[in-house]
Amino acid sequence: MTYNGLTDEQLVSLALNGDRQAFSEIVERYRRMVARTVKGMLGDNVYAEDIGQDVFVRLYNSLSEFRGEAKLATYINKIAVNLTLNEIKRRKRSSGVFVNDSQLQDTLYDVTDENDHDRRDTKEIIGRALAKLEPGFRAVVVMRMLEGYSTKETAEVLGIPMGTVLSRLSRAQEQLKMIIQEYR
Amino acid sequence: MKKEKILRLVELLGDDYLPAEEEKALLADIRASFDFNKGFTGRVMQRLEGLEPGRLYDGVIISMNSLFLRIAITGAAAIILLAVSVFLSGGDLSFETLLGLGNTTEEGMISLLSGNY
Repeated sequence: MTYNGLTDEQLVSLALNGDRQAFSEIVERYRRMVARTVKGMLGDNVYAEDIGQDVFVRLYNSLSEFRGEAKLATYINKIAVNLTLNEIKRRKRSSGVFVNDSQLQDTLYDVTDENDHDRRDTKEIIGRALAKLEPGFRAVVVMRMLEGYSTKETAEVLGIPMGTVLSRLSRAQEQLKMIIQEYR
Repeated sequence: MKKEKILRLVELLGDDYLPAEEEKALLADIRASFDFNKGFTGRVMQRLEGLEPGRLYDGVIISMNSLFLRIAITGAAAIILLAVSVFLSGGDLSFETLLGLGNTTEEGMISLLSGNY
């Protein structure tokens, strides 16, 4: 049986009936999306992979809660955002230091293609700039820039009003411009 | 040049800005480059070994059961200690003495006020 052509709802239904291959296809399908959210907000460090795995374990455990009212992608991204924000809070509590530029200095954004310097530099600049933003602002920027969500979708995933998304976007834009201007 | 490109990407954050083809390509490129290390799916599936799908509250129920058991044992121990204490002080262990209604103490108003109890 091939799983590629199945819809998300079909895969969820199969997974709920114990078809592990179907769940594996869900992981394959949304792996990169979760990586964008988690690494975009947390940086490409050792915690990112753990959080990524936790997202899918949480999804597996709550599959029966998924009613199909929202898209599966939105449902997964909500879990990813919540777990990442929890991790940021946990790290802030345990170390008393916010996950910032200095901590992410050498670990932000893994680049698989080492020859692509231009892309690496672009990602690095974006990553460093994102790391300087407040977590709430960062989440909004990641949803818009890296996930390509609309304002409405961003509000839905983050569970905040659209007005808040817009105001955060506006302030994040200003801050990002200033940070990037300073970058040499 | 690179900075200008990124600044234009920042402009894309606003809803009223439509990306040019070059920016679309750059964004798509950046988005596609995010991934976890090789074997990620396998590692996730390994963690799911032995788990049943959609059993979010199983762990919570198990921990609640264990919490309830601990509270029940502590409560039972407290009742036994109280009964022993009443038996030692009152000399017998009837239901009334357990409730403090035994005739070992005078509970009339006069005796209570006079401290003669």
